[in-house]
Amino acid sequence: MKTVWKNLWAKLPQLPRRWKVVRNLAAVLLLSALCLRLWGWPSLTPYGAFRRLEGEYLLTPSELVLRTGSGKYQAFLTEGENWVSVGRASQMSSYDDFRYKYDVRLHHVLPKAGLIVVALPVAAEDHAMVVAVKGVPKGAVSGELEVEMNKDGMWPESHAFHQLKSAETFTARAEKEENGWFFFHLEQHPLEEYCLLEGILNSMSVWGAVPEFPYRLTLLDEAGNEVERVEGTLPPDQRIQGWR
Amino acid sequence: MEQNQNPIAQWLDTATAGIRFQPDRKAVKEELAAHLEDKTADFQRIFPDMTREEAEERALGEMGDAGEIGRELAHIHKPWLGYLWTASRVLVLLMAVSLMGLLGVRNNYFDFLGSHDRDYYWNSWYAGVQDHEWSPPPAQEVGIYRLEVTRAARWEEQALHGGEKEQVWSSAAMTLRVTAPWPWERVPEENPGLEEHMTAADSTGKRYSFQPGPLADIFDDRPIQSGDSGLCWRNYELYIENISPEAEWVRLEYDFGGQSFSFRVDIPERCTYFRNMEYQTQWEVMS
Repeated sequence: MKTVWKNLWAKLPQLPRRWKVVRNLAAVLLLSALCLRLWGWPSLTPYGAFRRLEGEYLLTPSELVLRTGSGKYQAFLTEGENWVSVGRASQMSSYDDFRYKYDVRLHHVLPKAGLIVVALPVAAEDHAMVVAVKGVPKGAVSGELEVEMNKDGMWPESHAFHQLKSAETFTARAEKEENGWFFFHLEQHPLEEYCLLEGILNSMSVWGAVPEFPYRLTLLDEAGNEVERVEGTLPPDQRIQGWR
Repeated sequence: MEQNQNPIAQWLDTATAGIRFQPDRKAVKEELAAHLEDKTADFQRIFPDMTREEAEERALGEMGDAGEIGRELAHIHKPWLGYLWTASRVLVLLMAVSLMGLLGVRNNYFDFLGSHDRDYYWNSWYAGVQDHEWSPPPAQEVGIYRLEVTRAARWEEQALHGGEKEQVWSSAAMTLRVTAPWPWERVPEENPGLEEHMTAADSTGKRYSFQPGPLADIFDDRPIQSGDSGLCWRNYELYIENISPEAEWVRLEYDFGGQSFSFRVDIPERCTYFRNMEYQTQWEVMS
C-alpha cells in the first residue's frame, strides 16, 4: 500500500521548492479556516463576542462609538442605523465547554429618536463612569451632567458597603464631539477612602448595568447660554445575555 | 585532520561545507559522490591497468578545486528557503492533526461544512407540497442578513388516548432561512432574538408567540428549532400550533431595536403532514 502511494506521489508533477512552500502555506490557510469553522468561529476579542450577540438580535451592522475598560472586562457603546446599544463582555473561564470564553451582555438597546442618555457599566481609563449623550437640540455644544447616585442597587455584602455614603451627586462637563456625542466622565473622589461611585462600579463589575439613577442635564451654546435643561433617569437594564 | 580519511570523502566534505541547510547538503553530497563514482568507473574502463586509487585521484583532479566549488554551491543553495519549506511542512502536519482532533471532538466527520443531521426529518414536514400549491414571499434584507421563507406546510395533528381521538387541530410549519455575507457572521443555532421578538398572526386575526412552553425541551417541540445549515446560512424551522382551520396565511413579524421584518406566508390549503400525538399522551400519563 505504501509503495502504491509512493508511486502515485512520484507521478505527480514535482514542483520547485519555492512553489512547494506556496502550496503548503495555502494548505495551512485552508486547514486553519476549516478548524475555525469547526470550532464555531470562536470570538477572538471581547468586541467580537459583543458583535455576535448583536447579530443574534439582527442589530447589524453597527459602528463602535466608545469602548471602556480593557483586558477581561470591557463595555461598548455602538450605533446602528436605527438604534444605539450598550453592553459588556467579561472574559470567563469555562470548564464545561472550551469554546465559551466571554460572558456577553446587552444592557440597553435604545431607539435613535430623541435624547439618549446612557451610562457605560465599566470604568474608563481614568476610573470614571462615562455617561454618553446624543440627540441634543441644535446649537448645544457643551453641557453639564449631574447624576444622583445611591447604593440601593448594591449588594450589602460588597466591600465597604457600610462605609459608603447612602447617596451622592456626581457632576461632569463635556463638549460635543465631531460624531455628535457627548461623553461625560463622572470621576471618583480620589481623596476619599471609600467613594460611592467606586463602590457602584465594583458592585456591577461583572454582571450589571448602571442602575436607573436620576440625572439633570444642562446644555449650553457657544456663548455659554443655556439651550435646554432636561431631567430624567438612566435607562433600565434589558438583561440580554449570551456566551460566546 | 585525519591522515587516513578517504580523499573522496574529504573532497566531498569540503565541497559541500558551505551548504547550511542540512537536507540540501546531504542531497548535493550524494549527487557529487555518484558523479565521482561514474568518473572513476569510466577511467577504470578506459585504462584497465589503472588501480582504483589512481582512478579516484584522477577523477578528483578533473572535478576541480573543492573550495571553489564549495563557494559556488553555498551561493546557489540559500538556507532560508529550505527552513521555510521545513516549517511549512510542519505547519501542514500540525493543522491536519488539529483538524482531525476537532472533527473527533465534534463527532462531525462528514458534516463539517454544514449540518444536515436531521435532513430527513425536516424535509418530511414539507414533503407532498406541490409547486402550484405554494410560492414563497419575497426575501428581505435586515442589516447584513438576508431573510427568506423557503417553504411552508399545513399540518393536521391529533391527540389519541387509548386509540380514541381526543382532539384534532391544524398547525403550520415553515422554514425561515437567514443568510450572512460571511461564514463567521452566520447566525447561531439558538436564536433568542427570534424567540423573544418574533410573533405571528394568521388571516383570521389569531396571534401566536414563539416563546417555548415549559415542556418544549422535554418533548423536543420548541416553536423555533435550528434546521439545516450551510457555510453562510442557517434554517430555522418554525412551528405554529393550533392555527385557525380557515387560516389562509400567517404573517411573521419581528421588531426589535429598530430592526424589523414582516413576511406574509401563504399556508397551503391541503394538509400534507399528519402528526399523531398518542406517544406524547402516553408519556404524560406515565409521568
